[in-house]
Amino acid sequence: MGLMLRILRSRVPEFDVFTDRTRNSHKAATICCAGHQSALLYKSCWNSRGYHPRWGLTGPWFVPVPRLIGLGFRVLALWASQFFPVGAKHNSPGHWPEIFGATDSRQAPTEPSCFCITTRHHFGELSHANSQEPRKDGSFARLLLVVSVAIPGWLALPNDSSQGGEPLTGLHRMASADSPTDNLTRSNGHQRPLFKFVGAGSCAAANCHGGDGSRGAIGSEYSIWIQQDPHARAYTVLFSDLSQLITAQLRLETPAHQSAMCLNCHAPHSASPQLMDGVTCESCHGPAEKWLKLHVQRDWEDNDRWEKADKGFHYTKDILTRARVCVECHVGSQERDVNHDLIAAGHPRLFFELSAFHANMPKHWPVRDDLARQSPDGKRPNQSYFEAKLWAVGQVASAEAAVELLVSRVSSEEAIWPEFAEHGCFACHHDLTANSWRQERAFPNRRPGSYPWSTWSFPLFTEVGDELISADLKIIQDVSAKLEEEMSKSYPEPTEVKHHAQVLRENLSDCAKVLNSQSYTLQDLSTLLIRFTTDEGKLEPQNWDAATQLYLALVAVHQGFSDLQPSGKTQTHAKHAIDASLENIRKQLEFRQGFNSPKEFSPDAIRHELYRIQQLLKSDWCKAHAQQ
Amino acid sequence: MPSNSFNRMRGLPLIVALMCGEVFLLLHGFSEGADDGLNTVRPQPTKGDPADINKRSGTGRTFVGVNDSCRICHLKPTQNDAIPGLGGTVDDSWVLLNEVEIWGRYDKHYQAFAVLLNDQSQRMAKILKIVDENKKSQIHRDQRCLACHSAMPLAQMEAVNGLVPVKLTTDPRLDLGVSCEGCHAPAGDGINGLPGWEDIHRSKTKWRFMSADQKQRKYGFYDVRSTVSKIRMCLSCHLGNAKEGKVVTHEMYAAGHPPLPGFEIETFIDQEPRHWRPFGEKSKAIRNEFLKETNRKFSPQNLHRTKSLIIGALLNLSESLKLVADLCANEASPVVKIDWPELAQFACFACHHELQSPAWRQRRKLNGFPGRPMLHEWPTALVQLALLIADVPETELDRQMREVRDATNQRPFGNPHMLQTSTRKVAKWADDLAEKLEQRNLTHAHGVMIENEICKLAMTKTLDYDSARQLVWAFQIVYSERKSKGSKKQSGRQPGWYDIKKPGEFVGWYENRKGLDAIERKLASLESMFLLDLRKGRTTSQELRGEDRPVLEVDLKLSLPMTASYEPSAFKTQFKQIADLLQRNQPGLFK
Repeated sequence: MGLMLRILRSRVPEFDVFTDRTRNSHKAATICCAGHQSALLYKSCWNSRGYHPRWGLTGPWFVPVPRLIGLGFRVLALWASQFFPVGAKHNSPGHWPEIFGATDSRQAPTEPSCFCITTRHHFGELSHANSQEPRKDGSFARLLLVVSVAIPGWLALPNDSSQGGEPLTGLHRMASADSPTDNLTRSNGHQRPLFKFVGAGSCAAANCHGGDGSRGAIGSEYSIWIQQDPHARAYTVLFSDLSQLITAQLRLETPAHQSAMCLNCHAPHSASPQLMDGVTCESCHGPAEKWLKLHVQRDWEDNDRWEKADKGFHYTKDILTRARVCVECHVGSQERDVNHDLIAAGHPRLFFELSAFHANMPKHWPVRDDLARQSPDGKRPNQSYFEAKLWAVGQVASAEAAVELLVSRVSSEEAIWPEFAEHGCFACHHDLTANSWRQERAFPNRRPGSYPWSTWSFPLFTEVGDELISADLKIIQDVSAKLEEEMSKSYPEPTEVKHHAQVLRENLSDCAKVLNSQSYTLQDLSTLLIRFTTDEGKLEPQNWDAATQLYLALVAVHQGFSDLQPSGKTQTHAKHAIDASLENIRKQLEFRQGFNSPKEFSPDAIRHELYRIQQLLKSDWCKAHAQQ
Repeated sequence: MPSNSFNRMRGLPLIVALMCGEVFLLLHGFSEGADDGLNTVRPQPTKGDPADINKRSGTGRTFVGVNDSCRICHLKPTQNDAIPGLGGTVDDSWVLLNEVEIWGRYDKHYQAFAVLLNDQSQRMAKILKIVDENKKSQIHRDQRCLACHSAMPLAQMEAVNGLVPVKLTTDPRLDLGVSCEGCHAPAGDGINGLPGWEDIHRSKTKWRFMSADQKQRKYGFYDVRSTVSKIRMCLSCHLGNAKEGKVVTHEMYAAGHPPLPGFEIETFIDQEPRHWRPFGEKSKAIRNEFLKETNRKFSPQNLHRTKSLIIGALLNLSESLKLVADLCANEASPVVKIDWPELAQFACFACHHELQSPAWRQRRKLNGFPGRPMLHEWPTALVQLALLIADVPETELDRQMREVRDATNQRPFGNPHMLQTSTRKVAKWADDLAEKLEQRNLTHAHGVMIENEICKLAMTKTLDYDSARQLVWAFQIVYSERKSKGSKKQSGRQPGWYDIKKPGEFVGWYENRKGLDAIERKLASLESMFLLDLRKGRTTSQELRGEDRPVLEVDLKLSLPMTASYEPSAFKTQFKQIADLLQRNQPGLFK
């Protein structure tokens, strides 16, 4: 093995870059089923067009001949593998095979997975990979057999890294794309994807993304996702009791797991057979038809994000792209509408806030890279304003999606109007009490008993915009005020609403671009924090939605503020005290056991904590300023 | 013009017609306008009479006020004999003659204006911005409030921009709340020389035996004797009437107006407390005289209160649906300022509850659609009882309401056009049925049937708080009436009912009463689950014209938590126990 590695290193100068992958792949190779490629072989794998994925297509007609010989040997090895049984003993999940028409996973066809697209079996192997059993099944012998075929072929290849692949065209890129997801590969209901979804099966290769590293390890993304990420279970929840209750309440004819209304979020791209993937890789990273083969090439990273977008690849390293991908389901879009009918039937409400959801998601990518990208010089993961920027971009992306959803709701022919899900839930859904805090506040800016529009998506962003952005937010504030007024009527006029919402959407889009490109300093973030704790106007915790948004903003921006401190700076007393105050706020906001609404919410308790935090901030910042 | 036989005969048909009409009216009068227990035909508005039977202010008579007129006789005069030339009151116990005392001392109607000055109302004024330049509440001048909180017809208030003149607020006609003419119609003479009933009603011979229709048409006196008229009068404020400008809007509720409790006529009469004797409680001599003069029959053993209860059930439904229809069709009085959809016409607690899952609201199978607000539920709670007595199949209510439900399910707040037409249809059906039922007499057996039906409804349906409370109230009325009529000793007073001569002994919901049987004890215990005695509240006082007036305020801290913590399963269990006790008393009851 050492000899082989040395040969490879000499042959492949950039070998070290792939050390991780190689290591993983090496492990994977020892556990691969017979007949499937080892990692090393993979590195020399050639597609049917006869060019090397790394080295490209070069040379005259006889270039593919060694490949074909190698292919022949591999087929031989495949045949030979039946004498080294491995798959027979392990249990693949029983419900998978019907996809491929086999009745028993143990007899599922082992197609030669030479071309980066491995079969579902890798999943079974993966689960096996996580078991503690040592492999004693002659897989090393197989590896040797296979590698011995591959090496001659590999050595015969010329060392040329010319680019291969389909010619790129600019046809797929929308004229005014400001982010890769603006092109039509995003599968909104009204924008059919131009590219096909191929399913996560190929991503799941143990030597590709299905390794067994820890979170953030390159090559283990699929494993982390399938084991830890709730997105992987998004389809199976459609079989739960709650889903059945919802379909019964709504008197739907099809069950939830077959109903387009549910599948559009819970198993998007369900035209493909990989329903049970739930929210799978391509849901966020884009349909892989065009970029699947390309992205394993070394020169993939030479493409800029727009060229990648041309292939349908969502550049999720960019925060705005990431946010827009999330809000498509978590806030909604045209055919992904969790409206009041659905919520009344039992569906949980959608309360999305990017930084909080991001923090809670088991990350299958190295977070250090995120941090590094959002740092003063783009290289310092230990001094990053990432969390704060994530919050800001998340706010505008959520608002954008919310307004777009409003437009689609009001324009739809079968419009359910007025749509109660546009408004704050708990404005209506609370027990009536004598002299409540709502009456104490005397309903500023709206008629008593009228609907408060979009208390979740809008309160903070418009108020602190001038701290975040040099663009003029006045127009957004004006239009959203008009929209709020129209939506507060007991029957908001649809044409008026649509007009205002469309104007708002344009402006939010522009704002998003600016926000996405900004960087932050300590000064920015501290001013922002002071603003959040001022408790005046729309920054008051006037209802549970506003208070929770305030809390989440404080947590995110405070985290960003702390992360942005130069490394080596000791934690101040104030930071711990602020954290304690934030924890108190969180306790106030929590729903009581057994309830889905804030039965005991009171703004005064929140106000008290906000005041405390502001005092701590002022003292802390002054001291920090003095020290600098 | 030469007169010939043709000319002479020209007027003959007209004369004959007039004579026939007079004879008809004469005969018709004998079957008119008796009180409970006597089969009543509700007076119909005559053609050409601009006064709609529901529009009190439309009688065209002047509002006089209790202070100037009524209390002279009805606040128990010291002498009982007529003074020649000066009149006086002869008390032959036809009426109590201390009505004003009962009303003044115990009735919350007397306090209706005073509450517009209390803290709660001032808070409402601030929220609704009905304040003057010094931020002082002007809510006691707002016609939207005075429509219900005073007896004066809106048209006679001389209001400007919805606010009455300041001088009127110190006028006793206004500040004595819902006084006599509020229910009995304005008594003074009208501006066009129309005679009021103030003078005529003092004469026994001319007034006592006059038909209700005549009283209404000739003198503008509102008929509160016939069950249907009486209930409609009460419902016009206690539920609402768009054409009369009496609507509590959602905006008012949000500002702090107490939620209107579901109305049940007999319970509310008990808790008023009533200032009259029903026909069965009058003396035998008086009764017989009346029956002889008006040529009617009356049977004291019949269940008159129960009949009133079931007619009330039908009218609850019809009036609530008419209110919805009027608001939806924008046919309300100009005093009412609403936009449709008006949220207060939909069930309050369908939205106003903390969210829980699983929840009884999600679990019960209603004909509604998730997320679509429904109309109020409580008006339909007791309709089945009326259908039972009227021999109408019990599926009839569902059939009638189907179109209404389709309208409300179609989209949030319903399809307005469909809602209007369907609600008016059902209201008409309920009205017609109520008038038919007014001719019926309910016997002891009917009472038993109704009790069974109430138990069945309570045990099988999952009801909301107000509907359940309707059932409890209804059961109490039927049970206590049946119990009293069943006793061998026939007394006008039902056991457990307060003596009208001593209204101060009014005891609320079985409070401090002795000798309760098992069922009554169970009913008494239901007070922990519902606010059954609406007189429970806060006793304060309000200063008006230099005097301190006692005021019994609604205490929302008592009522709202009960609504919030109500559990239908607990209610069903309790009623099951009542049903068991009933069955024990009468074996073979529930077959």
